[in-house]
Amino acid sequence: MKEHPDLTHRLSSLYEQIKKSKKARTTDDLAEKENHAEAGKHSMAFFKKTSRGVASRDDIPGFERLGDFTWHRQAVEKNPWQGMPPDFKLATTSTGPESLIFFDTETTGLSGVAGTMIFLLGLARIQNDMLFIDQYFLSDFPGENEFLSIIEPYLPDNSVYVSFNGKAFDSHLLFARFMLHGREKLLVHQYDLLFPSRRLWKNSIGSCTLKQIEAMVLGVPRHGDIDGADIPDCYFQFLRTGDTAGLQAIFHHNYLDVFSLAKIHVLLESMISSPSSLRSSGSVTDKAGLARILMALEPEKALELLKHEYTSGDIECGKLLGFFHKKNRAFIEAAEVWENLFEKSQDMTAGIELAKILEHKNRNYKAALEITETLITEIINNPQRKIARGRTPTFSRYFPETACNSLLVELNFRKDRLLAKLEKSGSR
Amino acid sequence: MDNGIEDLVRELEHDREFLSCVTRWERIPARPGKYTNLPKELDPAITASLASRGITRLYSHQHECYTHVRAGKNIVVVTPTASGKTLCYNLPVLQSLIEDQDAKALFLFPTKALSQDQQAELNEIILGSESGGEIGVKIYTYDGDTPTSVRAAARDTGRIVISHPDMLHAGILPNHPKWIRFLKNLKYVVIDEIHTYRGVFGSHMTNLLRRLKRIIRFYGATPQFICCSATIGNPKELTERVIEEKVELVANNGAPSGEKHLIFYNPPLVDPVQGIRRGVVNESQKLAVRFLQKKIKTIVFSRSRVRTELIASYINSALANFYNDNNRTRVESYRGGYLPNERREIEKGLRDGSIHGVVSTNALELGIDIGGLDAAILAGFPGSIASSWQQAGRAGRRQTVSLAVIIASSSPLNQYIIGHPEYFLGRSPESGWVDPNNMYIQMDHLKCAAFELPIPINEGFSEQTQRLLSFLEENGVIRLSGDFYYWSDRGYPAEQISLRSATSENVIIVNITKGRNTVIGEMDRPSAKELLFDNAIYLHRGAQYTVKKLDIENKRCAVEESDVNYYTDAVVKTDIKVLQEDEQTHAAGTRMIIGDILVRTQVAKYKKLKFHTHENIGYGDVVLPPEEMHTRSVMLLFSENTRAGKAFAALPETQKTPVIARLGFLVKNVAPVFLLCDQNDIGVSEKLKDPHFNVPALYIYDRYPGGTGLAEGFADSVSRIIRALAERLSNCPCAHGCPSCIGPVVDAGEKESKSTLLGFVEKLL
Repeated sequence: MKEHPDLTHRLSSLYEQIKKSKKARTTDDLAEKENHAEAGKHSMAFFKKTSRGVASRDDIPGFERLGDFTWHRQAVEKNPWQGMPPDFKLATTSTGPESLIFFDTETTGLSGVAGTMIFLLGLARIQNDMLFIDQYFLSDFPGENEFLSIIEPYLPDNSVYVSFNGKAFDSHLLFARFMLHGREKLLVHQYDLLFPSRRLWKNSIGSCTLKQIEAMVLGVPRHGDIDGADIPDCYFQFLRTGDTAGLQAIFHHNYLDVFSLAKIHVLLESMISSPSSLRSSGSVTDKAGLARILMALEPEKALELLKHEYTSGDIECGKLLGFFHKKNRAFIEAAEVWENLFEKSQDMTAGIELAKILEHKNRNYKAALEITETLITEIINNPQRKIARGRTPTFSRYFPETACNSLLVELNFRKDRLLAKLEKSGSR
Repeated sequence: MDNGIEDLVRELEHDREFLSCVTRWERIPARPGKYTNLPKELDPAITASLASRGITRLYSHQHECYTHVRAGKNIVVVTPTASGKTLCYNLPVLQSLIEDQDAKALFLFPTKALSQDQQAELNEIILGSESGGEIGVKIYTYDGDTPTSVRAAARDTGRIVISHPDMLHAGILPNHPKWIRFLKNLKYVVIDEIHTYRGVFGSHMTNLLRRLKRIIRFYGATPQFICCSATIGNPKELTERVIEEKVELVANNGAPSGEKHLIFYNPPLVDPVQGIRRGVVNESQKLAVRFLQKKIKTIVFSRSRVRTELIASYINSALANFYNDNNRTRVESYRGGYLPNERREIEKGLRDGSIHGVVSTNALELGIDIGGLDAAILAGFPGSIASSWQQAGRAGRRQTVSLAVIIASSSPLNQYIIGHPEYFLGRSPESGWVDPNNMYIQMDHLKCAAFELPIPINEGFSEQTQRLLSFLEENGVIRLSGDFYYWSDRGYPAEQISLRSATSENVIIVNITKGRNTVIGEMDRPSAKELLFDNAIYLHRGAQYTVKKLDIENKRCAVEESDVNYYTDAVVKTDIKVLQEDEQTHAAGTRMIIGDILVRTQVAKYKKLKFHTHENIGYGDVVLPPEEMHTRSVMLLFSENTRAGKAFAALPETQKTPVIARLGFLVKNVAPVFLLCDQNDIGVSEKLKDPHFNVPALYIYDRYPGGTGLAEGFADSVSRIIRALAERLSNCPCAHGCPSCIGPVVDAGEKESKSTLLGFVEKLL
């Protein structure tokens, strides 16, 4: 317990107390087990018992009471888009914006699902050109069973749940909490905005937190918001004191989170609908990242975007274009791209890919060998160009030399093979 | 039939030079096996699989286990080497899992290495039968190495999950809702090597099992426990303490065993005047070479990693001289810290016979299946009777003769044992104790338990639970609401509570020779400071490396191949710094203080020792931060104004050092019985003149960082412990002192030690 560094210390006084009151140690631990066995009821019964005889709060300002421990409030915001709505294509099973549910939870901790509870659930829905934001609040632990049974109907199976890092965290926790209470609740269709956000913005804004995206991409920085890490303690404080003042910050935080989810989602959808509108503006957006997202949804648009960005000098888009051609077996086009990239920037990937095409398609072993040798010299002379290949990032961080070596090994292998082929064809 | 081993025994029996060093030759006669038929109800797939491995009948104890388990009883089976341990649990578990397609089993092994071993073994049974088809039982190993992609499958579809306590503690229980499918159908919990769960580690295990049982009850299941133990003094009692259930003891081993020879060997004197004997390293190497040349499969147990490497390389170089070009004799070293696949390869080589000899630390003492060997050489007494039998037991086959030689080192304990073999043979193996209600440990586990599931106010682990829960509530860690205590801290308790005293941080050893950058092994951090300091010579499977750079922070050590004629030995200094004195009383005639201390272990320099002769050829400096442990200690001060202090001051000057040293030895041996801990859980340090208090002092401290209440427990029962010390001294039948009382007495000049110490201890009463 980082918060209780002196716990062990203070324990020695307790030790004294227990020592004094302790009867001679009974060896009858086994008999005691019988009592325990009696408590062995099924999970439902266990949690039904928890809620017995607890007084709950009289009032949570701004919230209406839905049960002994469950509270609710609703707010309505304007549509997150201006003018024409975009086509909703991102979430695959989506039949339109009305099936989307933007969700975020606030919890009593961050790790281990058994002892971490969800005490606040924020849900946002688009309906009749409005955004409805519902928040459900659990005012004490014993009410969890009630809380879950109240929110369950608002989590229909056929909706698409849009979250930020919800795939890895919120939905697992939600599932586990329901499971503990003997219910099964799986969010079947999910779309996690974290992954596309990283693709689009990580290179330009660094850490891809919701807050950072709001400030750098949406252009609406948050002020005076509670730090997510302080939320559990803030809730515990409320439980201890009953003072609801601190809670407002959590409610607001959660509210902004789900609201932002809707905004980011809509922004993403509009980028997909008309990627060309970004060409001139959108300086924070990674074009190659956008193209990757588009590739699965609208390949033609992706290709168009790549070509455009490649001609205006975006190397990453160039590489993607190269791989795109390769995948479509358009080797002439691919070679053209790789050659151009390699000449302009001595790019390692471009060089390797060009050598591959020269060797396997054009059977121009000499040219392939020349490039391979250039790459080898390049790595040896310029250690900054080290590239980790086929290894985990952690590995290459600890063993950059090895990562580099494995690339060298690969290149040398190619070189030897090319030499052998040249020998065989007798043209060297 | 190869009679090499019998020839060797005959040869040794007539070798006068060898016999002149033997202080005892114990012959343990062969024992026939007791067999029963396979249970009729066994599924044909299992029977077929067993048949394909040549098993058509069971040993009586295997059958006994099967019957008990199938009758719904918990068992503990005592399993010497080569007694077919795994079938004791695999057979009833597999049969039940085939009958009940929902049933699941959890196998717990004390370490990761052992659990991975088990997976291979089980797979063999399950895939083993060609005619009977596969036994459709899915088995997963769930530990820190299990890839995330496999974890969900293990949880949801694993019928048998193999894991270790640390994973159960920090991985499975805190996430039990993800394990619901597994836990609600959990039918068996198999705990192998249950004798390792003693002392503080055992107390942790008991509380961990309390947590497990609590969660399983929550899901409505009640599993049976199947436990295996090595030979210890009290297997049934220890098991019942650890799992807190009644168990049936299965101790009648039905496996046959060939004749065994146990030889106590004292290396010859090289300097009779000073009493210097030939070193244990060279002596064991010579014997091993002699055995191996006769094609006797031999295992050498050594007491340290460096010695293991030394003996192995000496053996190999000695053999190389004889077998220049035919390399038919393969000898390997084995210890923790090798890469897993290297270890697997050695184990496999030993099983299939392609490796003829192995030199090992106690890593091969138990658990890992290496098949039967003909001879075991114990290079030095392993420290406990139980370990000695385990190691000697590695030599032993079902049919043929086997041989174990205990070679004494020059330490007093070794010399005592070798001089009094009857002491060794007459003692039963050590017993194991746990204290499940150790308050500190229980509090840690209550935190975890509250995290895992709210604790009803009328429930708990023991009578003190309620007070501990109130205490935790006062400190805001848990919260009482309604009739339940809820975890109410953002922390994740299991993450901050370690079941073991040793750190799990490992340093990776990287060979950078010629830019190679390959990982060759690993080592725990405290050991790395003693063995991998800059310029140290690191020995690894017969190769020699020089440490280029030990990077403690990044847990990485760069080594380079080298070729020098010496190895290195760190000079380790341990000192104690008093941080805080909490409580002061008078007890046992001394001033007694309980408080916090810092135990610092520092490597300041190292010796260079020449290979083979082991002569010191130089020193080097080591610059490394000390290894520090903050813990709790009892300090007994012999101040001059106390009864004990006066008695101590009255001792003749020459007796002061031995008296306080032997008092420390005695305390270390006796106190664990009262503290229900293991000897290794406490540290004892004697100071003739303590630098902090300026008086003679005895420190008794907890070897778990932060303390687990052993210091308080000691203070609590100090007068009972002192009384027990006096009793141990006066009741010990030895004449002048032995390892059971004041410690080994070898030198005739120490005849007064026992009576002097007894006189002193009586003054403390």
